[in-house]
Amino acid sequence: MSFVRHQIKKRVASALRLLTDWALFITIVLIGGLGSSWYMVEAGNRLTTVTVGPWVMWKTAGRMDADPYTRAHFTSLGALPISTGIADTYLARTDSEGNRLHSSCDYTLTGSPPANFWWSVSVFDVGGGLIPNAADRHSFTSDTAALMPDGKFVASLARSASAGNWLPTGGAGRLAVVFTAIDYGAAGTSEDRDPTALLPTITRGSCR
Amino acid sequence: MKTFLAYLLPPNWRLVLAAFFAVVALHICATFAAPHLTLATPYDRLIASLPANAMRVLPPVTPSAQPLPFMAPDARIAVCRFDTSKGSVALTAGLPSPGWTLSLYNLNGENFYTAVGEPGRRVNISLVLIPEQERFQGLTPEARGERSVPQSQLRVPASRGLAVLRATDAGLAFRARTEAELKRTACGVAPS
Repeated sequence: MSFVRHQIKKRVASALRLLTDWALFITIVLIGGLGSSWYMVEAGNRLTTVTVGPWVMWKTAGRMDADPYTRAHFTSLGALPISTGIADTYLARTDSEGNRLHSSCDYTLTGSPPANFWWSVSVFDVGGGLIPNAADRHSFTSDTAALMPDGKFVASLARSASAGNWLPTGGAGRLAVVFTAIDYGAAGTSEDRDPTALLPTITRGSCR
Repeated sequence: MKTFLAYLLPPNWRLVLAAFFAVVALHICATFAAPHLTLATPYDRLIASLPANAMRVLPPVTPSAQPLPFMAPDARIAVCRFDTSKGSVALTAGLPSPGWTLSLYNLNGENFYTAVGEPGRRVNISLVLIPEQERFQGLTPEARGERSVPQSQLRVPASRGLAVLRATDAGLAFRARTEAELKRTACGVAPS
């Protein structure tokens, strides 16, 4: 009798082991396969993106030779990017210290973009929508921004109006800032350009 | 903990190896499938209001009229939904200032042609988009005894797509000029 019980126990244990092995296998495959793909499409890595402080640019955005991650990223984003052959488009979702941009805080963008670039800075909500505001301000370009006497560009992202280049952010929640630079001096690919010289820093001010 | 580790060890190496390859296969499949699983590509979103082979100046981008995410009002946009399946398409545009760009996209939003405005001179573009497949496109102007207009022929890797002219916002004082320049842009079936 005890021999039969022992046999049954052994078979049940073996079946359980097989079942948990397969459950573990399927879980690992789903999390590993789908999770790694999602991460590479959403965030990218060094092979697909250039990261300078809070700014991220997809290296082959809008190009025929774009890698599958870049293609999937922009299709899921629903945006029509300008080719990186002529323009660098950087997106920031955090400030220069790595904190998420949020409309409850004020931010200052400071940079000194070189003269041989047309550039623009635009602020969006986290989904890429423009933020409605009474002033109807959403972006500044190298043509419309007021520069400091030393050639620097300073803009403020804030809920309440401030002097200078003010971009209203009230009520948007999490924010995304896009910096686009089009090189009209010596049009080259994004690999030829030094992004650190282009990009403004994003400094957090007071939060409410 | 010890019991749990004892249960896991020794691992089934065949299953571990199979899991590794399955993870890689699923990663590749999911990445390549992702663009096809999107409900509406940028092309789909834009073509709803666009006639084929005609240039349309889009209204200024506002929070209530933003055709695509991350599309900023830093530029005015004119779009032509080209379709070369029934013949060549002629496209003319002027890029009077730096920052102005003309880009041609295929259905997947990939950019296969770009022209950029330059400082100090106007860039005039005159293109004939011809489909990649060899096909009789009619007699040349010279064969018909007419003078030919200098045009660059561009063999497009997609029979359908978008031509997008971005005109940078240079401020309120220049808006009328920008609007007029955008309206001069033309896109239509090329005369055969």
